[in-house]
Amino acid sequence: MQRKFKVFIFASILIFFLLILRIFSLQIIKGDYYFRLSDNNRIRVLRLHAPRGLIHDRNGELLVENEPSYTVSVLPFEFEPTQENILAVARLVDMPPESISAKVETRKVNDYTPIPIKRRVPLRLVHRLGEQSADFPGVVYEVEPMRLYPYNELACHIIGYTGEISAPELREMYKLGRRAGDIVGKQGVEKIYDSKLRGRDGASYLEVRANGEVIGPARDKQEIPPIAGAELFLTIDLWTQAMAESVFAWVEKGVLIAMDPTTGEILASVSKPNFDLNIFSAPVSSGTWEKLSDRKTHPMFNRVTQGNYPPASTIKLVTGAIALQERIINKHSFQEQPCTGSIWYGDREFFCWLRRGHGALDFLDAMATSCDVYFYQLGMKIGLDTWTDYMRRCHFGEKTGIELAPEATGFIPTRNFYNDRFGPRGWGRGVILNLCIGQGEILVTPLQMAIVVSAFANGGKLLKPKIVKRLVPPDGATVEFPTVVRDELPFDREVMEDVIEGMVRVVNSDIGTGKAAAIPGITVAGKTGTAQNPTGENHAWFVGFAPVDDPKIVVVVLLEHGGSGSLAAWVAGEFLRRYFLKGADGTL
Amino acid sequence: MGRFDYILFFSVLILCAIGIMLIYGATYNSKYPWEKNLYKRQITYCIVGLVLLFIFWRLPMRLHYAVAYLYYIVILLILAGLFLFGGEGVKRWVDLGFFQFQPSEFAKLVIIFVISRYLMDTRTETSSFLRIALLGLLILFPFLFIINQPDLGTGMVFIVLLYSLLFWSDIKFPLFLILLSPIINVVFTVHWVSWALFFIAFSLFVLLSRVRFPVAIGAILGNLALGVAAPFFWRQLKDYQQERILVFLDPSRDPFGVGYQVLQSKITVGSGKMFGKGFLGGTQTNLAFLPVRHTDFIFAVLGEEFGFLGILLVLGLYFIVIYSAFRIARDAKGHFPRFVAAGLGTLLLFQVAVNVGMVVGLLPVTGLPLPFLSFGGSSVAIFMISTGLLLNIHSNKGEFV
Repeated sequence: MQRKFKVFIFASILIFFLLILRIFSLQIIKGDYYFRLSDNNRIRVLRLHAPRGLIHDRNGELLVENEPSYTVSVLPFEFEPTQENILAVARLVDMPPESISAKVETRKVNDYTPIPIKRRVPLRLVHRLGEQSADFPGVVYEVEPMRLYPYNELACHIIGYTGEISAPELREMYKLGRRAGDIVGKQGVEKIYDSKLRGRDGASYLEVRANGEVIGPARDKQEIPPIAGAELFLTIDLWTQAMAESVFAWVEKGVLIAMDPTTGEILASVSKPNFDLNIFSAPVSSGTWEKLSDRKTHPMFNRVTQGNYPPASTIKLVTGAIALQERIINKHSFQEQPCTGSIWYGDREFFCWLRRGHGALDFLDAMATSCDVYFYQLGMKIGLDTWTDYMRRCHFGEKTGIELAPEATGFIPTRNFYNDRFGPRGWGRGVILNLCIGQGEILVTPLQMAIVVSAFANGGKLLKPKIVKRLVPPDGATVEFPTVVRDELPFDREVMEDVIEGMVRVVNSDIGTGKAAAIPGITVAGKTGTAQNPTGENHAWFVGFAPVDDPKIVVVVLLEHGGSGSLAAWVAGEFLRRYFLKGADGTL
Repeated sequence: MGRFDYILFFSVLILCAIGIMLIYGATYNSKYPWEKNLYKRQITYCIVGLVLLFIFWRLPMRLHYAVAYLYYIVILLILAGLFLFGGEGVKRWVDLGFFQFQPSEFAKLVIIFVISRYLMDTRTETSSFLRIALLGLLILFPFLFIINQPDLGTGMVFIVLLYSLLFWSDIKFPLFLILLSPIINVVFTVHWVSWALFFIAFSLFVLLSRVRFPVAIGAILGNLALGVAAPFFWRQLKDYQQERILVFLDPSRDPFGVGYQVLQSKITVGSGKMFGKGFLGGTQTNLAFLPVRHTDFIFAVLGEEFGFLGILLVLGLYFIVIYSAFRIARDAKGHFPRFVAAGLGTLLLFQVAVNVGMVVGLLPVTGLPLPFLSFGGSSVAIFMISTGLLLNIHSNKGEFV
């Protein structure tokens, strides 16, 4: 026991000795310095704001940069929130005194963290603050890099913007270390990758007299340099994106997606209406807010991922594939009833979009002409349960997993849905007729369509759509985002080839509904759709890819209230033509 | 009753008195009215503590031995209740209306009783591995509840108590080192070179020592697995979780939060110089520069108002108390009382070292109070009870078999 006792006593003496050594250093060796700091001087900690990570396109073209800006802040330690002081600050930054005192109260993190009062203040104000610091005790300016979006509205829904953290965001992100007054990403990749982009603020320590006069750097506190945020490389191709936006310039509401079908990388993504990302750099006026939150147009809403639409005839790709896969037909099969413009099922008449009728057609021509009567008969034979099962296996009705939240799921109705909604006897078997041509309760997002079309183009792989290609942290440990195959289409290769043959005929035959998408020299495959819309003019769809032999690009076009699918096909054709010319004729 | 250890008793009394003074000095001109009366509450706690001290001085050690596992079950139930019904956020206190009861403080004493009894009961068992595994399991449950509160400091106290009492028990040194190796291992994983050096040295030591071969191989493989898994686990953590650990180890990573507290704390202590600014003369403390100055950072107030000499006096008193505890452990005849005394000595040493180390910027900010000095009823109570237990063991050296 004596030995164990000795070990512990020796350890105790050692510990006490080390503590006393440290205290000796603090109190005796550096005592005078600390005494001065405690007596009338103090240490002021200033934030060295980390520059937010830059965002590039896939080739390294800069999409988002930073510009230095000045922020007027108050130091809670040194700033006495008296009426007089608040008024002085209010006059300095030209803001109402109430909002100053509200910020001082609600944004206080602790006694030492500067409270940002106004960001992006003009330089002359900073000069004034520097010269007359004695008039503004506890008011300082910080240099803060702020976002600049050189291409304004380009890819705005993908990039997103930044802004001061809101109260609900603060509650959500408090445990991630966000504090009141912080700048955070609000949408798009700025939001999703906020924690990677934001970097880490540093700090500098100043010794300051009681009256606020800065003496110089604090003696024994090393400055902590800020660490820049990670740089993002998107899958977006700046040229293709700009070109897509110019093709879409006249479109009021709609979507254009261009995707690499082999990787799921999104090359261009347009959602109209859009907005200028730079409007958030200044306080947003109420008029602008009204425009941005307009309930009819919703410019902030990313229709690519969040828009739920009836797929209309574009879903015939899948319905046709199901019928081929189930050996209900082959590609040359005719149906019992030729198209006379409508067909009776039970006591209800279902119309073809072409009221005068298509006559007798095989599968390929039914695809080309998008004959509804042909597909009604396929729907009857497939049956609701088989059809919904295949749709589920194509991953409709669920999120694609793109790293852009929020994402809509679309909707695939099932037998249970109809039973719950109308009662077991309240609905007719006829629903499948509407569903299999993409009408009725079915909803899809444009991105889901892009993924399924990509799968047809790439031999059946359902990919996870990719928006970020690469993440490069300042320490250089680059993270490449891999291609993720989520599942396989539930169709045989021959089935997909037959469907593609039909899609080629849509674009490249005289009877095809998508003729307008044809471009010289390259074979385009596609499918049009015209979604009936009870509230207004029809939505126009075109989905397709090119070249057929070696698919390089998938394109999805949706024009809200755009009339007929052939208009969407024309837009897609315009996009593809310019894409394959790649600006050879000098245009975007 | 046998002899009464007056030196221990009066050292503790003086510490309590200094504590009350410092709490008064830290809060007498606070801008919050409720803070101004904290010293009165501390006086009450000390008086109640004194009563507890005398009760535990008189209670026979045999009683604690008999009900050690009962203590354990009760405290485990309270901790579980806190875990289940404590609501969101930090769940460290049970509100008794007149008193905010902090079960994790009492858990420290219970853990000492339980380890002591377990180590005594299983003394003659040969399978040392199973014996220690079961002990580890016994500590694990309260440990997890405490970590979840979250109270990392108290969790660390449990681990330190476990190792200290294993050291005081009959366990052989090589086995003790093997048990300690996972902790050393994790520390050395900061860089692969340091880890490789540790691993080679450890493997050689284990193979050359007289540990049975399967145990040695098991220890080497276990450490290898841990060394490989630790960086992997680290990468599994979310950014903010990593950040929390890094800030814990290095407060200056958070210059506006913990980092500033540590800076202010150093200024406060340093500004006291040799003789201090005198009682109630502290500017730094009175200016409310330092948060939680009456609890976790009370030592800074001591440094500012009473200077280096005041600190030497207080550390001297602590040394007397800690020395007494280990001396009492050495001289105790029974195993249970010896383990209890050694555990209490360890508890005191660890908390003083960690708290003072934190205040002077040497160690992470853990929120462990300074025994006898920090404001807080539960803390005062357990250290007064500890003193009572030490006095009891001292006066009944041979009574417990």
